[in-house]
Amino acid sequence: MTTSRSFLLTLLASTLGAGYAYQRGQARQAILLARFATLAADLMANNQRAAQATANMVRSISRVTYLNYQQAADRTVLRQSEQVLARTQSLTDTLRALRSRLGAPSSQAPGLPNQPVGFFASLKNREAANQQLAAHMARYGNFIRRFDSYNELGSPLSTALFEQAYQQNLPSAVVAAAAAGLEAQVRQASAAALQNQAEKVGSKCFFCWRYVARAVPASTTVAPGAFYQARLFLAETPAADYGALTMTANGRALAVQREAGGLVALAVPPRQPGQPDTVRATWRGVIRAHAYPADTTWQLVVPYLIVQHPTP
Amino acid sequence: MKYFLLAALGLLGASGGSWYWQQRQETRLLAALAPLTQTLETANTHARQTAIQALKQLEEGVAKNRNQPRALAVFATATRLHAQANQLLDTLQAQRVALRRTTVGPGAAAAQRLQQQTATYARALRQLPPPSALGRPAVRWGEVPAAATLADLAHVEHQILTSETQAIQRLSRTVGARSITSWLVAVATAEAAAVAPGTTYRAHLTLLKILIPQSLRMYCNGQPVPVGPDGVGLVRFRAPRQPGPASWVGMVRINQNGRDTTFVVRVPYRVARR
Repeated sequence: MTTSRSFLLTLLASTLGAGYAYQRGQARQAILLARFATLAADLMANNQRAAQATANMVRSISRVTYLNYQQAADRTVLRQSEQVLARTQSLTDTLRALRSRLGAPSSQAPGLPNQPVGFFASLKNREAANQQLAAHMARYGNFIRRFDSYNELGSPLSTALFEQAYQQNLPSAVVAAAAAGLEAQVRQASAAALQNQAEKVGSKCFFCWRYVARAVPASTTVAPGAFYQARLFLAETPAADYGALTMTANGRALAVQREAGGLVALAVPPRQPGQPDTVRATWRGVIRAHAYPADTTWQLVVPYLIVQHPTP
Repeated sequence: MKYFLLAALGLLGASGGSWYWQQRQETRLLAALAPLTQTLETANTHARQTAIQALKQLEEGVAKNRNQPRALAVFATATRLHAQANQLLDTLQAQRVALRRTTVGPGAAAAQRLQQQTATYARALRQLPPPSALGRPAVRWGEVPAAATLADLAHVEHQILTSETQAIQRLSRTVGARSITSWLVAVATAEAAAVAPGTTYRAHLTLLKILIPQSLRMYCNGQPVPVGPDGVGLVRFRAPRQPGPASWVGMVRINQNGRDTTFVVRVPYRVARR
């Protein structure tokens, strides 16, 4: 009886001990999970800055190409860089959508649709989602390696952590952190690729722009004793962080010269019988610039007069 | 008694089982934490370069500002902050290497040195306008697995680098005017605002980047011209009575980086009878 009692006591003690060890283990796990959240927040802060830097880099390649008179070689580099930007955005948007789907703070990804995109609608099917993401990563890896002329892209993009997190059914905080880590790797690869691209374009033209005083008169001809009017300002030339500008007047494309801009020549219709001596007319000018992340358009409507006996 | 024994055995089995499961989960979590830490460490290496570049840009800004004493003082502050951050980062790096080699944390002396250096850096950071605080560096040694400590080290490194780069960039903004406010506008200039039927109307369409520097004064033929908040001066004068070619001189004066600069433009026009 005493043996069984002491056995029982041992049993109880070891049960208590195991319970205590379990409690300690839970606390340790909580500490570890907090680390995942911290690392993910740090990585996402970096990712956000890197996204900005990537767009700036492509913008500067576009600008240098423009300043270099749009040479064919530079334009190829620019096109490739735009591809890098677009594909990087597509992949990182996917990763961010996954993060927000997992309940991670999505404030870092403005402009991202709140609703899960089609791809993640079937997130319950984790295996399929995982495979799809791995395939996307592999395609991106093959693509980005083409720009790795100096073999500087570092470690290959690895979805190993991701697969592990899925297969072992680790908490969603770990999967979300893995997505942040994956984005960091993607950003590092794209930054290195774009750095290589930037080194390929033109001369390093840092001081090609200059400041000039510019005047825009209402009209370059004025009647004797009448008021002449103009707007005067300090301008930077060429005007832009933009590559090629396209200009139209009344929908017709204009030939664009670098400093002079677009040359507008409108045929004024011959006088119709019964037409008054003075007719008000307007034309519409549109300038479109390719910018990142979206195109920008400026429009203006310019009035002019059709008169029977204008200034000679 | 028999049931009680069975129940106790069952309990032990269950708690043993969950303990085992928990151990396995912890091993997996630790294995997942390591590659993430490494990713952040790589990002931190790049961030260190970014901080150096920010300091270089500030130095260029100061030189462009003709090394004015006030600008030089700003640069000295930034250099000091950079040195303190570097010292701290080197200490963290050494402790990381030691931890990877031995899996035991540094002695009490090393931990204290880290704390002192952090306090010095945090003080320097607080003295800069606007004062920014560095989160308390929570590096836990010993009581947590080495992988967690390595994650802490990478996190603290990240905090230091972020605060350093931001502080230097803020300081840069106080030196000269690196970037001038500007806006883009489409403008058209017609050869003549009135044309005859059956002729051709000609104009230029241009995109202009208009700059609005801090001090902007404009003159037309030496007479001051009113300047709007959008950086546009309105020129208006009576044209001469004599027909023929004429011109006026526009002058834009700004004070950039402590020196006066004048931009001049001669604008031709035609005076013609209707």
